[in-house]
This record gives sequence, C-alpha cells and structure tokens, in this order.
Amino acid sequence: MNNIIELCYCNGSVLVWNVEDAHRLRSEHRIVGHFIGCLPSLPRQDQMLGLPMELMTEEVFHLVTRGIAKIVEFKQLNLPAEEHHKQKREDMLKASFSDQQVIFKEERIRQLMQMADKIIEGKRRKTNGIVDGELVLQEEMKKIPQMSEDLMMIQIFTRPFWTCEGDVADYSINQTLRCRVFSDLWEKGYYITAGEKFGGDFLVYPGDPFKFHSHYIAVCVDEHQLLTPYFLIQKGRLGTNVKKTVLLCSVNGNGEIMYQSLNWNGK
Amino acid sequence: MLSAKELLDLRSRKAHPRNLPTMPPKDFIPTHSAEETATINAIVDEKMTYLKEERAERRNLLTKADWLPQEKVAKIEKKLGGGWDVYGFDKNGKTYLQPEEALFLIELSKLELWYSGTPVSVQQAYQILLVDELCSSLKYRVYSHLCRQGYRLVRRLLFGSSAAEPSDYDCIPHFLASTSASVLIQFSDLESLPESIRNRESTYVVNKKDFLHFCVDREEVATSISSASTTNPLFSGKTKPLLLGNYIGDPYYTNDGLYNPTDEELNQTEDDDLQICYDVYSPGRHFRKSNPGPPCFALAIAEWSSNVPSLSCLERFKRRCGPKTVPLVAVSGAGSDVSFYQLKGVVSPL
Repeated sequence: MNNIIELCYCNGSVLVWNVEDAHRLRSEHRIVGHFIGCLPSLPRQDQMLGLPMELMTEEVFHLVTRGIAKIVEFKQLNLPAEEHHKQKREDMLKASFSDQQVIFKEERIRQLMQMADKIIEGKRRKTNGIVDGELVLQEEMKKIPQMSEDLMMIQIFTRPFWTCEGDVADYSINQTLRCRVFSDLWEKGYYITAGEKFGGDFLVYPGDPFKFHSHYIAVCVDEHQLLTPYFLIQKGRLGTNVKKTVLLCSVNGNGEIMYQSLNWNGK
Repeated sequence: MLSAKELLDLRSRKAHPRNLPTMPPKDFIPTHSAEETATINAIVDEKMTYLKEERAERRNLLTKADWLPQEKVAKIEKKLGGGWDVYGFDKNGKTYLQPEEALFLIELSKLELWYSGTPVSVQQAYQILLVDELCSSLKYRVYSHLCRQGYRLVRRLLFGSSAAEPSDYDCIPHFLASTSASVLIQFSDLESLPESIRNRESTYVVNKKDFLHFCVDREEVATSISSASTTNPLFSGKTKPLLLGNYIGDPYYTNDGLYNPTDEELNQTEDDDLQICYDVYSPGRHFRKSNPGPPCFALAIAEWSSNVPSLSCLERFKRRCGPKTVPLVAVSGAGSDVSFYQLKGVVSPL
C-alpha cells in the first residue's frame, strides 16, 4: 500500500477518523496516537475510547516528513449542506426504512415457522376438526403488522456520508528538539507515547503499548541547558518510583541525538 | 452506510451490550516470537472491531436538535429518550444545548444534530462545535472525560458566581433593623437564579424567626471566622451572615499570618489563567438542572504547557468557588489523558 494517509486538521488538533488508517499507522508505522472519542457501543466508560484518534505534534511531524501522511482540512464541513447531499440522505433513509421493513417481516416469518407445529395444533383443538395447516400459516402471516417507523434504526454517521475532498491545511510544524528525539527513538524501533503523566516528554515502549510496559521516560533537554541538582534529583526519584529509566535526550553539535540515563543509587 | 441488516443487528445488540475486550497482562521484554506477534495482532484486531462500530439508535429514542450558529446553541425539537434532567437549559419554554452537550450526546447516540437541513456526522460535529469561541477541544476533552464517569457538568455562568456578591447581603440590615416578624427579600440579580424559580417569583417573604433559628444553629461555625475577615461590617452585628462562606470552617483561613492577599489582589479578575469553566456535580440520580444545589467541584482547565499560576491567582480561584465547593484544575494536552489537581489550603502542624 503506498497511498498517503490523510490526517484531518480540525480546530487545532490533528485527527484520524478512519479505522483502517488508524490500524495502518499502528501496525505498519508504529504510530499509536491517542483515542479521544466515546466508544460507540460502550460510550460511558473510560477504559477504552473510540474515534477520532488524535496525534501528537511530533507524530504528525514524523509522518509528514517521511511522506507517509499529509494534513488536510475539510473546510466544506463548515458550510451549509448542499442540496444534492440533503436529497441523497433522504433517499438513503427511505431505502433503509423499506429494507428494515422487509428484514423485520422475514424475521417474523422465520419465528412463525419455528412455532408452526404448535400453531396448527392449537387451531385444530379450537375448531375440533381437521384444518389445512398451510392455510392457517398463510392467515397468520397476513396478520404480521407493519414495523412502525418509530422503531426503525437511524444511523449517526462517524464520517460524512458523501465523499469529502480535503483541502490543503494551513498548518506547519517547526522541527523542535522534541520532534528530533521522537524520530530518533522511533528509528531505534521503539513505540512512543506522550509522557506528561509521568512528568517527562515521552514514554518509550519496547513493543506495542497494548502488550508491554514502557522502559524509559524521555526528557528533552537543550544541549547547553545547565542542569541543577534539583532537576537531577527530581527526575532520578521519579524514575525509581515508577520503575522506569529516565533518559535525558539532547542534540550535540554534530546533530546527533545523545542519550544519558539516570541511575539512582541513593535512598 | 450500514445496511438494514446491520442496523437491526445493532438494535438487538443494544439490549445486550458486549463487554470490553480483556487485555492480557503486560510484559517487560519483547521476545519477538511468532506466538507473541500473534497475541499482539489478535489484541489489535479485536480493538479495531470495536473501533469500527457505527452509531445508530431507534427513531423514537433519538432526539433531534437544530444547530443555530448565530446563537451558538442547539435547539431541541422534541426530547426523546431519557436523561433530559441533566442536559441543556430552558429558555422561553424551549430547551437548548451548549456545543459540548450537543457533541457529547451525539457521541452517546442520543442526539441527531441537524445543520442547514441535514444531520451532521460526528466528524462534522467536531469541526463545527469545537471552535475556540464555542468550546475548545481541550475543554471538550475534560468535559467528556468527566461526563463519561457520570459527573454532571454545568457551565459556570459569567455573570453570576456562586461566591457572595455584596448585593446578596442587601437583606441583612433589614433583618437586624426591622421589628416586623417577616422580611421581604428582593433579589437584585434575577439572572443568577435558576430559571424555574425566576419564572414564578422574584420576591420572597421570609419569616424572620426561621432565619434566626437557622443562624443559631450555625453560630459555632460563624464565630470561627478569623479576625482578618471581621473587619467586614457585616460581621459586627450579633447575627453573622451565612453566605460569605468561602472561609467559614476552613482552618486555613482561621490561622492568621498565612497568605493574606490584599483586597486589591483578590478583586482583580481580569487576565486570570484560572477561570471557572464548569460546576461539577457528583454522579447520581438526585441531580436536577433546575435546582442543582452547591457543586462538588469548581473546575478550571489548563494545558500542560501553560505557566504555573501565581499564588494570588490560585487564591482568587479558590475564593470564587463556593464554601462547599472544592477547587479543581484539570490539565490535558494532545496525546495525553486528563489529570486533575485539587487546591487545598494546609494548616502548618505547629
């Protein structure tokens, strides 16, 4: 597959609205993102979230510079709907309702057939005579009511039901230290997620975060930044408390990424 | 577009929702064995089937609302399904939804939001509703995070804060001076009252005996106010006002010599980073939007990259919350979950 993945720029966030794209980003490109929507089937819980998937700036930078993805913006979604879309939606709803009607009837007939013996038996007892089984069933089938439109299902679309062309987004990313560290760690084969909840820049996983604990907390520091003892103690303590190694990441004069790990021996 | 068969399957599935996928325990070191790869692929594939699901709801349970871009609210045509005690606000007999409420209800498959004559997709809703001047993406993330856990969030209205305003005490001198048995109270700011009350009455006759009785019960609390706050003339009478509650019963304020901001510092409200966005009520059935009572938390929202607010800013935020309300700051950003910080004054152990 070499088609470029479209990332949707929407009110300051970069989102993925397509499950296939989210899957590809994860399995082919080791980009895991972060789901922020409610899961359609179980929306009132926080264990697992649903589409859209939001990407960090560094993930976006990584994907765009490698030509894996491009950023688009769907400006037309801000505009009032076009007439032929309205028409299409009404037609779709009508077609869906009549299909649901047919399937509902089929289902009822299926249930009726399962009960056929009992129904005929019952009729026989009532009339005390011989009745035509076929005829009884025909009668019963005629009695099946129409499905009320109120009971029919209406779909709430995740994405627009018409094909939507994205415009080039007015969005650019500067190559920050964080971006360079992200890409370098990625090159080394790691999975990377945001590290704010551990007080660092990134969390670095040896494999898919679904299955593995993270090994490192990456903290980006400028090469010339003077590190105070406070800073080192803070990060050292943090690392030991959460059983992870703190990595201080910086770029040296030759543009190489340098990593220093903190090892905490004290009590 | 789901086929009719899929839609009806979804309908029967709604009655028996399946559980979340179970996750095997995490490992530390990958072995890259075929078995391990298969496990991971299975997890990913299972998760993707959940993510692939579309939303649908029965027509008689799906509420329709119209998005009004000028008014920045969604107007409900007819309320269907449950939960309307919690969402929306009433005005002139109609119910309206704030952008974040509308979007959350769409995500719950409870609402079909119409814009210019056609229902919007979830993607379009994210685009038209999460505009910065309506409700920023950050705000919505915090909103939906808490709503998913069952909390009720109500936008803090800008004009009426729950902390007492001077005009709230207009009635108190009457209580002290009047010799009649009852006092007429006129609320100076009707806007800050719940709608249901506003429509019925704007003045109240309060039986003085009841009020004083109530005060006596609370005397103990009221007298524990520090000397710093007794400079307020309202505290010089025999009966202490009950409403000025921010520091009643909070030992942090009864110890003098801690942080005592000047009035000037406290009254400055412009350019505060910590503005109260939402009043948060705990989960439960007793919540009524017409009479929510004092909130459990007052919520301000910040970003990971924002600066640490100054002490006076934190103090203002704390005092703007009601007496029984816990000030809470929610922080989030791209790629990360929401974290919460609670502000609490601590008394030094000595």
